Amino acid sequence: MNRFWALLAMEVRLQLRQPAAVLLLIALPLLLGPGAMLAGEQWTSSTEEATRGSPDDDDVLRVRADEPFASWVQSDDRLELVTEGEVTDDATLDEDEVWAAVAVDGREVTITRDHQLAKSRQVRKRIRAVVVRQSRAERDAALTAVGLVPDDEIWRLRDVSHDAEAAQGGRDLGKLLPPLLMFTLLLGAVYTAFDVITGDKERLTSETLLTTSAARSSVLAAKAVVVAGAAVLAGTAWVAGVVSAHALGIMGSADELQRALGALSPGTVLLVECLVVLLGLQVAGAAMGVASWVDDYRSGSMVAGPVLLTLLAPSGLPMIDSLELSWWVVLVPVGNVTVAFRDALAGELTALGGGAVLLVSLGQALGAFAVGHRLLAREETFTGTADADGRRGMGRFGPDAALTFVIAMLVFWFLGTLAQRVDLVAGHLFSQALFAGIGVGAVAFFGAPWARLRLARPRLGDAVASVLAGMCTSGVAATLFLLQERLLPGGMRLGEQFSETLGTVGDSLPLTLLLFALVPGVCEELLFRGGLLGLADRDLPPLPRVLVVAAAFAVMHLSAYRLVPTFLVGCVAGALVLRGRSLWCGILLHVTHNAVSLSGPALFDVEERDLIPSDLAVAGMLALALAGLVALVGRGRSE
Amino acid sequence: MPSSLLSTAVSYAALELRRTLRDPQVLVFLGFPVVLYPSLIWGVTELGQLEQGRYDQETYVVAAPADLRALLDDEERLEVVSEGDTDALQQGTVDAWLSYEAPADVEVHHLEARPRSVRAATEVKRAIRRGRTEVLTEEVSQRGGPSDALDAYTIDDDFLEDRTQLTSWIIGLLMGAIGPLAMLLSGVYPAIDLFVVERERDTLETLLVSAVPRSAVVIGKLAACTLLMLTASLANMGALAVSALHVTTLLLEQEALASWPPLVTWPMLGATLVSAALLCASVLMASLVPARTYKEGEWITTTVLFGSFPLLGVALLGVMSGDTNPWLWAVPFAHTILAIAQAPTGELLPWQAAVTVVTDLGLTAVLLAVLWRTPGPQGLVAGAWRPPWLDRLMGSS
Amino acid sequence: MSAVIAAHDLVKVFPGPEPVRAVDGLSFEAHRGEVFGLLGPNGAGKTTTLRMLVTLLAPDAGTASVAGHDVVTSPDAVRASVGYLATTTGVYGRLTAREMIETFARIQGVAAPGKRADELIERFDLGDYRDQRCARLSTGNKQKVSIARAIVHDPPVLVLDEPTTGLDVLVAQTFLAFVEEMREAGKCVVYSTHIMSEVERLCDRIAIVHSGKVLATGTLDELREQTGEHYLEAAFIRLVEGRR
Repeated sequence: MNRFWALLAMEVRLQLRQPAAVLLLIALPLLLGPGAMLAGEQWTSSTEEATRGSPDDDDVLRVRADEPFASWVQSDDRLELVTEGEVTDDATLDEDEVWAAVAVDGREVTITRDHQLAKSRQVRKRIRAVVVRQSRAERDAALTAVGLVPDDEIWRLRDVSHDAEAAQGGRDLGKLLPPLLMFTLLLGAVYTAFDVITGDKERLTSETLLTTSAARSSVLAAKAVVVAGAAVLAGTAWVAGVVSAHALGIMGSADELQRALGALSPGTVLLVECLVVLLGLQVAGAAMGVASWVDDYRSGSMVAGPVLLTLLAPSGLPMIDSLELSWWVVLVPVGNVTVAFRDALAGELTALGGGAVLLVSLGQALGAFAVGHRLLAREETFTGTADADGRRGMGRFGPDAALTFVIAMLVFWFLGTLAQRVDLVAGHLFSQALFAGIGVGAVAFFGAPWARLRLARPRLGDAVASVLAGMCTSGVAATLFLLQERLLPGGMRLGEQFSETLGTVGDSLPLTLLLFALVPGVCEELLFRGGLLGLADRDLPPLPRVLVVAAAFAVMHLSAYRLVPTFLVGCVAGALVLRGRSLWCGILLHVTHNAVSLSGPALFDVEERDLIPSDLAVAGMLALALAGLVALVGRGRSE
Repeated sequence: MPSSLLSTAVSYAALELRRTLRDPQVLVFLGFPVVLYPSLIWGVTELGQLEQGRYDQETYVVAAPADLRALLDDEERLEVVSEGDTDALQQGTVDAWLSYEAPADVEVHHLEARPRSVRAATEVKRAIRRGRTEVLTEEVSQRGGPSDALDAYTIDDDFLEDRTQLTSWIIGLLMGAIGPLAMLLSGVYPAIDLFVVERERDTLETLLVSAVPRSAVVIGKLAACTLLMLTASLANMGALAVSALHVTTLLLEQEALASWPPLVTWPMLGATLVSAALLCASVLMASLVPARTYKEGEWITTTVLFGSFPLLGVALLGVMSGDTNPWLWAVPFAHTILAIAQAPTGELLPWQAAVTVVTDLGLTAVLLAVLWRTPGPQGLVAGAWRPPWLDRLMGSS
Repeated sequence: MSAVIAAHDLVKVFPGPEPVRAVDGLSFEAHRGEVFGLLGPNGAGKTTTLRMLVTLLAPDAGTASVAGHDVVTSPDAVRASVGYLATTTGVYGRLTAREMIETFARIQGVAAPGKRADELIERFDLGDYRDQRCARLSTGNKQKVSIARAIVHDPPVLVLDEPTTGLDVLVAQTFLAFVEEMREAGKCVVYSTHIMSEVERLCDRIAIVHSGKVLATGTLDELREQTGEHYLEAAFIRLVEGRR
């Protein structure tokens, strides 16, 4: 334990001896907090004014309108009516131009304007106010004409909010704080982590430390504490800056900002500090992982930016007003803490929710630290990593497989989906051809043996088993969808959407099966179980390899609802391909699965319904059959 | 510039580019936005779909007095109960409760800080309006009044621009926001690589004792840096534009993807981007003169980055309002944003592009002239202007 | 005399286009009060061997023990018994000379770290520089601080990997004198170098290393006799070329 304290004292001393670091951790956050909030407030009000015009704007706006609209306008509407004039398309109004033209046809009012101009948006608001007033006047007149009293008949609906005084402000604060705070935490953690870990490697003091009798875990723990401490210190300085600036009354006057800051009480500040600590731990863990992975400061900069942008994104989740602390939000790093924080400030956080977030977020932070620990202690820290040629020379193409997947996804996103929008069939075939081409092409490009594609003919028994497995997966996937509907409602719409997308193509079952069962069955398997699975042969053991490729397969389908069922199919396909030593096992499974899933609704009148117990029983039996079929494939094969 | 110096500079620039681009990390860093934007956009749209799916299935418990229950009983998404008050609301037993004061005042009690309660209030108000409208319309009809007495006027927007032009406008806004920023953010690391890393490693002496003239080295590095910043900017803008196009096309069902700007816009935009990249590279080169290590270079350039944000904000505001102060065209960085934002809709005018290019090139020339005098090509390569307080600040003394 | 360091058939393989066997069945023993030299050209496997002994790398095959502790199963105990100095072990620039030594004394669990630091400051004549940050010390003084750091816990074993690289003649001589002193104090010193004169001056026994293997082991006289050469350089070349 004494050694740990000695290590910690040394690391702290080294950081404090760097005035620039102290500036970064304390002075910059102190200013950044109020500065960012003020800038944000300024930005918000300016954009509001720029896009919609100032509410106090007294400009009278010229519009072209005939009867009856002209008769609806009153003097305080701030509209100047003319009967002739071109609608302007730039910010200046010539004498013979107008901001908008209004035409009334029956109950429809058409406003012609240039949407890009702020003034045109302003004029629309004013025109709308006139139209609404007219609608109400005509309505009231109609009611009066038949002997009804409008005030008695048109119900007035008034919102009454029963929030505790600070709840609304607290909620606003909870939305506003996290993204701004995250940036500061990231600065503090990243710069410190790189100095403490990567800097050690660059300055040749890493070996000096790691050859002492202090346990590796003590060395790394001391570094972790310093990195986490730096993040928390920066975050605390940031909070202190905001609180102080608010107390001094220099935080501007915007209503929303004042309401948010008004929620700052000693209790709230304590809660904010808890947020700082939890987020700081998560961020520090990530920073340590990154710093441990790279060999020098330069590499770290290249990697850190992208990785840390990824962390910044979930901190914006609290801004989605309607987002609640549901089960999946609890699992999102950074997002879980920030949403819980917002709810806590609004008085809406339950004990269960808070406890779950605390456990999960701490677990995530510790996990990140553990990854950093593992990365720093590996031998490559001292020997360097093998270059790509070296790796490939040993038959390891794992990183190449990852790159292939990224390229396939990008090509599909940028070209494939758009091509499908232009022409469904041609675009779909184009996408599938891309998949197949990329899968096969990757093997050639990286110089992997062709045998990795596993194109050998399967045994007859294995082929039959694969077809039967495809039928089973179709049934199990359908049940999964029903089950999933309870956790993630809305997935059942996918079938309807797909039918709409198919259009007339869907009228022909053979064509549908050709395009959406056979072609994807072959092309997607060439990419996933052919190219990716094959390239990763020597990088991962069989089970993790199958799981990772199945996950990639699931992500490729670009639908949260389809993730789990597709992952299942991917796992089974991967297992069959490895056991049967033939890609054709996967192809047969995939084609059969798709064919059964498409044929069912086409041949039988399948209605949307809820899950019933017998569904689970049937799915269970199918799953058992599936397991048996997978076990049968490859059995008795001679080496 | 003598042709031999130029050709040496070009050769040296090619060498630097080759060295930089052979590093897979640089390629990953420059190409990362191409992965980032689609991922973000897909994530946001999927999230929206998931949440919408959840809301569409939600039913709300609402306490209503007898006068209102009849109106709400047939609503599928409302479970109407008779007992409920503020306590029940706080405890979550009801999502909203109603009070009614005859003849026509209804209060919808809810918790603003609880999204579910807000949604319940919205749904119940919609239901009340719908139900009440039906009842009234029936009543009016029975009394001999018109069936559309309660129908409001509908407002339809007829934009001057067609939908494709609107898409182009949105894309222009996004590209304008991200393009110059990406030039700096993504270009910073190649800049530090080119100007500073050599000072850390043993290659500096090799370079300084070689026959390559210092000025050729500086010009070569500057050219390489400009090209890399341009690439970073184009990669970001391209990826963001296509991702945004993807979303608008799929979600808004455009007939055409987007309108292409006129041919003449492309060379204007190209010239604008090149001149901006050259100015950015020169500014970074100047700011990196005192840096001795990669870490110091990063700290210095972070400061420069922060300084560019106000300019970014001002320019974006101008673009969003559609009303930009003409003087803004003479302001570096801001005018690049405006030019990029206006290009997709074909609204970039020749004089605007000319002012932008001339201003950027002029400032670059002035800056380089100053730098050539002090610290001179030698100082630009090997580093200079190192005040003692910088050593103390970085903990080196 | 029982060996303080015993390495048996050590193997270490690095991945590459063709896997590189940096250490390929290397064995040797070193004893108390002895300077044992590892002599070989660049790429012979000396550094890799030493790194395995100080537990920075794990052997792929074979065994090694230092002061009775196995390098694989008891790495902490091994490091407690070793002082390691190499071209890749630097000093912390932001610490003063005294802080550097005292901090490592604490980390190594020395009972009175301050006192020990002062002793070593005096021993290495660093009194005038005790409060100067290591970043501002001359190369020679940095090396002295490094040495002090390496022996602050009075380990029975010293592992020195090309420690005089980059030092001027005078500083190098001081360093060699220090090594001799360590031997007199009964330490076991493993000294890796490719400088013949150092080997001839310091080493009691020498192992000639080439391509990850020990070609020959013995005293200087034994090697002369074995190769028929008087000068160590010639003997070395004969052994290496004979292997080729």
